[in-house]
Amino acid sequence: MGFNIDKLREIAVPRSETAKESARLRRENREYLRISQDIALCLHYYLRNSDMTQKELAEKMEVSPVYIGRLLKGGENLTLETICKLQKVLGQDLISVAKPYVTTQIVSLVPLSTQRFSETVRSDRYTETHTLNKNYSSTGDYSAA
Amino acid sequence: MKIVDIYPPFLYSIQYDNAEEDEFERLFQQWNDVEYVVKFFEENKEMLSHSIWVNVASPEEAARQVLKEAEELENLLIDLCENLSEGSTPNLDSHFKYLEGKYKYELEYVPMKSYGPIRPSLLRMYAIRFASNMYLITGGGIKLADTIQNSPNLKDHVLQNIDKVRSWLKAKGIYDSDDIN
Repeated sequence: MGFNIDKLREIAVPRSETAKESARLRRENREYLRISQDIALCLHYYLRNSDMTQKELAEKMEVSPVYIGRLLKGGENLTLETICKLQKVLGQDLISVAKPYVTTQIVSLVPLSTQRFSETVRSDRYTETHTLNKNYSSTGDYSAA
Repeated sequence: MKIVDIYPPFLYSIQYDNAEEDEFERLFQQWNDVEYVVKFFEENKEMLSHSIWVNVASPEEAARQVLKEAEELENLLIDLCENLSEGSTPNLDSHFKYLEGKYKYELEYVPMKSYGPIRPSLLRMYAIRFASNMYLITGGGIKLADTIQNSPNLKDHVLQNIDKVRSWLKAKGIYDSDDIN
């Protein structure tokens, strides 16, 4: 007496095409699904903490409540446009983009107190510089500079 | 009720009458559905105050663990089946644990359980072991308490379904045994 593997093979049926497709999509789309799920979790959190309903969010987003329902399930491949619109409506960050090129501070090889730095034209003083030049031009006397 | 191939001849799943999907597929669809998982934790928020969940601050935080565990568990089960087809280890036998309790001394149609990969795990899958490295998934769910009986969404169907499937298997003659009790 024991397990009858032939009987198992006889009665077992193949997985449905729908189930196969669903499993394939979960595996192949895993990278964006993770982000979509994280966004959905944020949406649930922000909606609950702001007492905003799904219907109100749909109205502010100018989309159907059905679409908001799909976003909240975490399976949508959202566009940047949709993400930005959600962030604007909620007033919250949903997705932050890495900026590996940004350093924590501006580093100069030249000490800030040197003459060279003081001679540089600062963009934030453009108006003042522009005004002075204009005055010089009007008199034609550049010697005062 | 029918048996569905997941990764034959190693992994199978039951599909219950009137169910749209087999249990393996139903569970992974459910555990990947953010709406379902968050709602589950909102409804059972008080159970997260148990000491083993002391670090969980919100339903979303707990839901995130379920999503992560579901992804890893599905990949793991398929990887273990692929190992078996290549004759390597680890395999399904090293993953499934005995479901003791009332089944402690069973030798046939042995009920087994599978944890998610994070400890403490929020996920459980239950199965019947046909033979070495041959399993039939019977169900599962999110487990928030120490026992199945204390888990809100498990207590009403997990053990009942295992018993139902065991009886059905015997009737089908899939396990030639005189006594399944």
